[in-house]
This record gives sequence, structure tokens and C-alpha cells, in this order.
Amino acid sequence: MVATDAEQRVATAQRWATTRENVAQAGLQLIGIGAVYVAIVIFFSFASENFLTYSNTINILTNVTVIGIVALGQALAIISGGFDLSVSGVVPLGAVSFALLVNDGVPTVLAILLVLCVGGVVGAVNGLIVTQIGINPLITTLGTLSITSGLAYSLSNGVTIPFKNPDNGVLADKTVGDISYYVILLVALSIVAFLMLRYSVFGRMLYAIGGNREASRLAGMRVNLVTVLVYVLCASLASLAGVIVASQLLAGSATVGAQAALQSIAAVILGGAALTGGVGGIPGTLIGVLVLGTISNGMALMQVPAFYQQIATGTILLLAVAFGRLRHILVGEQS
Amino acid sequence: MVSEQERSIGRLVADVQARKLTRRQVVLRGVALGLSLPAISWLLAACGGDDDDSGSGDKQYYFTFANVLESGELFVQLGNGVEEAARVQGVKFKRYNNNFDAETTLNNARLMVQEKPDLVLEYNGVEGIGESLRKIFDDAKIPFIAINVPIPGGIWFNLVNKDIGADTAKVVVPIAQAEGWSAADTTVVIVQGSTAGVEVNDCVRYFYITVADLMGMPNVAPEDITAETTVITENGVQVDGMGTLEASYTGVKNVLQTIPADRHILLYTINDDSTIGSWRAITEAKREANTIVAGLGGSVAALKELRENPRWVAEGSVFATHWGQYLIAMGIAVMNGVTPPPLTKSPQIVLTKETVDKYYDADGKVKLLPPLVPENEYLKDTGVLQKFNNVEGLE
Repeated sequence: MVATDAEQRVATAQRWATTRENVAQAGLQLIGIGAVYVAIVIFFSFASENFLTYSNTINILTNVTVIGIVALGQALAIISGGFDLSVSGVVPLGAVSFALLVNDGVPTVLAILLVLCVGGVVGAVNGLIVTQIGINPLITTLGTLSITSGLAYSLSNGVTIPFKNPDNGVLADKTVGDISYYVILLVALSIVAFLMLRYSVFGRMLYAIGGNREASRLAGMRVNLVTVLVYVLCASLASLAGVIVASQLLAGSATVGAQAALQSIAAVILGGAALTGGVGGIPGTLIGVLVLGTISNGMALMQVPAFYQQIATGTILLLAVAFGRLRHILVGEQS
Repeated sequence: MVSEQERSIGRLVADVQARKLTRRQVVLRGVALGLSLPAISWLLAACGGDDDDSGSGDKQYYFTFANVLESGELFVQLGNGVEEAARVQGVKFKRYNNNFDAETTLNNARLMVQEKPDLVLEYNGVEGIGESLRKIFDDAKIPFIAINVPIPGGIWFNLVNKDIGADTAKVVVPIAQAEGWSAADTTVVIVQGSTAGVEVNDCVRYFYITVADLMGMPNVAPEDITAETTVITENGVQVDGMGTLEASYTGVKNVLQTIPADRHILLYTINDDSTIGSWRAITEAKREANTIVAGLGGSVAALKELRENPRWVAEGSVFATHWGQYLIAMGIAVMNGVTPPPLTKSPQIVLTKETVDKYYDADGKVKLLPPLVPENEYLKDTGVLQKFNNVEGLE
């Protein structure tokens, strides 16, 4: 049956309306979390004289890079309707593997590639278990979290492995001014992820699969393949974060990255994503990462004890998410 | 002409006559030499009744050991050390893994008392369950030695964190003063582990207190430096590094923003991972020339820093991998009816650039243990430590 001109016009109008609504919602989410971030910056600027300085700004950027890179992958997983707890095991596994490889004389670039492959394998295992065996991502990635974390301890014998040659920490070297390579890497990866989500077929498929997995399958999308690829990307980025943290510390340790899963999920949710999938984006995620990193930094400068820092971070997280939820409800009522 | 086998048999007979061998060693060497059963039986008879030399002369003791964790190099080496010491002493031995978990620890305690050992070596990592453990061992009337974390009613073996912190300060301060540093231009940065408990954090607390005394800084009472303290005085700040590399790195990076770049820094933390992470933050901020650092733990990485890094001036070492020989000696002392002091002190020393080579080889392996001190001197009467020939001043 051929659609009439009138039907086509209605369909086109509906598509535009949906697009406008999505853009408006995404814009509101960004404005909302952006406003929260600005408020946090203003508060700490008054609360601590050391906060709004050039060196502390660099400090915040370097502090958030590791979680930022993990969060990029986590955002892809959450948008596609899953999530990945195993990043907390893949980060230390990446750090320890990198330290062992470079200490064994493997060239730095090759070592980074090998570590990315390790992450990719873990991601592929996650993706295949979720799609082929049908086990829930929570259980699957909890299992691989335990395995990868245990592997990191086994490989390192539970001890810190310092780099024999500090030059292997090249990613932590300064480049533009006082900004390290890894901060620039985060920015570059964020731009790539943003463009991929916004303008590529793969990116649009992630939103579609996250929104309605079954409908996407019926529409002819290769849902399982896309899901596996998402987990591969997520774990590869987590292993890269492991390389970065090892480069920062000039050592690999199985204790690093323990908070990576919780912090990255929190950042993605703060950035406007929903655990149900289909919603979210890179700019929001990055602001979410900055919110968490800035709160932590600001409270440290204010000499707030660690226990209260945890309480304050959790409270602000809940408030920000509740604010986002309220906004979502209000926008829904208006439309 | 005497064959090699005949010479070996001759040496075996001589060793048996000199009572140098246990019955098990006689059997093993006899079998290896291809001796017949009657010949081995004759040798065993010649051995007499000292089946194993476990300190009492006529009884083989049975000790069980619950290790805090059987993963991680330190704990595995500690467990292996206890097992090896038991073997050397001829003590029957069985090993459990508490897995840093309260429930597993209590289950292991119940399993151990079922075995009816003569003594339990309990390395429990969960402080709150001490009373439950005491009840299990007391009900079974089995003596026990608490390692590291005290158990009510038990005999306690541990390092003294307070002493090691104060001793480190006494090494660090003269070096700082020789460089012209004073209370007016120096900040002490201590890195605690907020969840590790008061005993563990005593090292950093007493480091600050001793430095403050020696350098004339404002001082505080020990109880005023708690897990929640961040600013100790105008001369001291405390960071929570959680005992890990990454958290210490981030924590010190942040606190450096609050310390003017022209101030000198004395840095001390609760363990080597934390010190290495903190030191990385210092070097990244290009403040190493203005900082003096001391570590705690005696890890391979830290010993390398002590030898090669001019700003890393001291390293506290507690020789945990060698605790086994002290623990077995302690167990034998208890079996011999000795009442140990409330705390039997583990070997500990603050190494400097001058003394590190005396105690550790270039690969970070222990060459020598520090001399016994009044809190563990009674162990020499058991004769156990002498068998290892590695304690300074003990022949």
C-alpha cells in the first residue's frame, strides 16, 4: 500500500516533533546539570580561596580523567539499555597488565594496544554472555568484575609494580602548558563518542536498542552484534583508563579503580541518562564527571573529613538526580 | 674401596647417633639410600623416642594457623613463613584462610577447635568479632595467639605502630634541620587510612606528635588526631589515603593546593603503597626538592626508593614475611608454660640509607632481622629463633 501525501506529511511532522522534543529534553538536561555544576563552582569559589585557581583547575581535570574515560564507555552501555560493573576490575587489570608489559620491555604503544585487546576480550565475553546466554548484565558484569579483579591481584601478586623506566608513563607527560596528554585524550575521545552517538548509524542504533530492544530487532537491527560491540568498547575504554592511572602513578596496582563502576554510573546518570536505556549523552556525562570530581576536590580543599565527603557526595548525587527526574516529569506534563 | 652409597649410609648412621635427625628424616633418607625395612627400623630404634624436636623433647605439638588472607604477596609469604617455621621446628601444622571476612573467620575457628590442636595462631582481620573468637577458643580450652589484631583474653603478637612512627620522626627531623628547615617554614603531611583503626594509624599520629616536639611546632594530644581530623595544627595536615596508591595520590594532590609552594613538607603515611602514591603527587607538583619522605612497610619498591631517591630518607620495616619463626617460638614458649607479656613485639626497625644494606639484599630479600627487645626477648629461651640463624646478636 502506498502512503498518501497527507500521510507522509503527518509522519514527517511527527518525526520532527519527536526530534524537537528529544533535542529540547536533551538541552534541558544539559542546562539542568550545567546549572548544578555552575552552582557548585560558585559555592566552592567562595568557600575556599584555593579553589578557583589555574593550578587547581588543572588538578580537577587530571583528577577526573580516569573516571571520565570509564564513564564514556559506561554511557554507551547505559544508553543501549545495559551497564557494566566489570570496569572496576578491568581498570586494575589494565593498570597491572600495562606495568608488567612495559617492565618486560614491550614498547609503550604496543603495550597500550595489548592492554586494549585485554579489555576488548573482557567486553566481548560480557557481551556474548548477555546476548547469547541471556544472563542479566548485572549478574554477568558482576561475575567478570570478580574475575578481572582477581586476575589483577594474581598477576601482580597483590603488590604494587613500579615502572622500571619512568618514561613509560608517557601519557602522563605534560604537553600544552600544564595539561597532560591523557586530559587531551579524554577530550578527543569525548568528541569522537559525541559525534558517533549523534551522527552515526551505530549511535542511533544504540538509542533505539536502549529505547526498545524488541522493536529494534523487529526493525531489522542486529541487536546482539551492536550489544557485544558496546561492551567491547566499554571494557576497552576501561582498560585504557587503567593504562592512564598506571601512567599517572608510574606503577600498576590491583587496588586502583575500585570505585570506577559506581562513579562512572553515577556520572552518566547525573548527566541525564536513565538506567532503563535510550536516553543520555556525552556532554551530560562529562558534566556529571566534573560534578563528582569538583565536589571531591572542593571538599578536600575545605578540609572536610573523608566520611563527611562521602555523605555529601551521595546527597548531592541524589539531589541532582531528583532534580532531573522532577524536570522530566514537568516537561512531560507540559508536552 | 668404599662406595658412595656406603659413605652415605655411614653419614646417616653418624647423624642418627648424634641425634641430628627426626624420625621422618631418617625414614626419608633411608628409603632414598635403598635401605631395607629392618635396617630403617634399626635406625629408628637408635633414634630413640624424640620423634620430632618440637621444643618439649618428648611430644610433637599440633598448631593450627588461620591466616587473615591467602592472596596478596605479603599475606601469602607470611603464611608460608609460619608453615616453614613449623616444619623446621617439627610442629604438626594446618593452615586456614580467614579471607578478611568475619563469618569465614568464625567458621575457621570452629573448624580448628574440632581438630583439637595444642595451640591456635589466629590472624583475624575483623576487630569486632574478637569476643566471639575468644569464646570459641575458651570453650574448647585451647590457648591462642592473636596476630596483629588483639583478641580479648588472648596472647598478642604485633608491631607497635606508635613506636615506629616516633622512631621514624627521630630519623627524619635531624635531616630536615640539617637542611635548615624549622617550624616556621615546614608543614607535616600525614596520610592516614580512615577505616584501618586507631592502632594502624598510630604510626602517623605519633610521627606528627614527635616531629612537633622535636621541631617546636604546636602540638596536640594523640586522641586529638582522629580519623576525622584534617587540620591538625597550623603545621600539620592529615589526608585520608585509605591505605591505597590511587586514593593517596589524589588526596595529596588536592591538599598540596592548600600548602604554599615555598613551604617544606615532611611526608609520612601508613604504608608503602600510600607513600608511593603520595610521593607521585609531590613529584607531579614539582615539589620533591622541598619534601622529605619516609615510608613504612619495607616493600621492594620502597627499599629501591630508599636506596636511590635522595629525598626518601627512612623506611620502617616490620619484616612480616618472617613473623612465622617468632610465632612458632611464641607457641613453643606457651607450651613450655611461659606466660608471655601482654604484647610480644614483632621485629621492627626504621631503616636509613646507611643501614638498609645490613638488613636487606639488593633484591629486597631479608638478610638479617633486628635484635630482640625486652618485649620479645623471652623467645630466645625456646631455641627456635637460633635455628634460623638470622636474628642480629642471637647465636
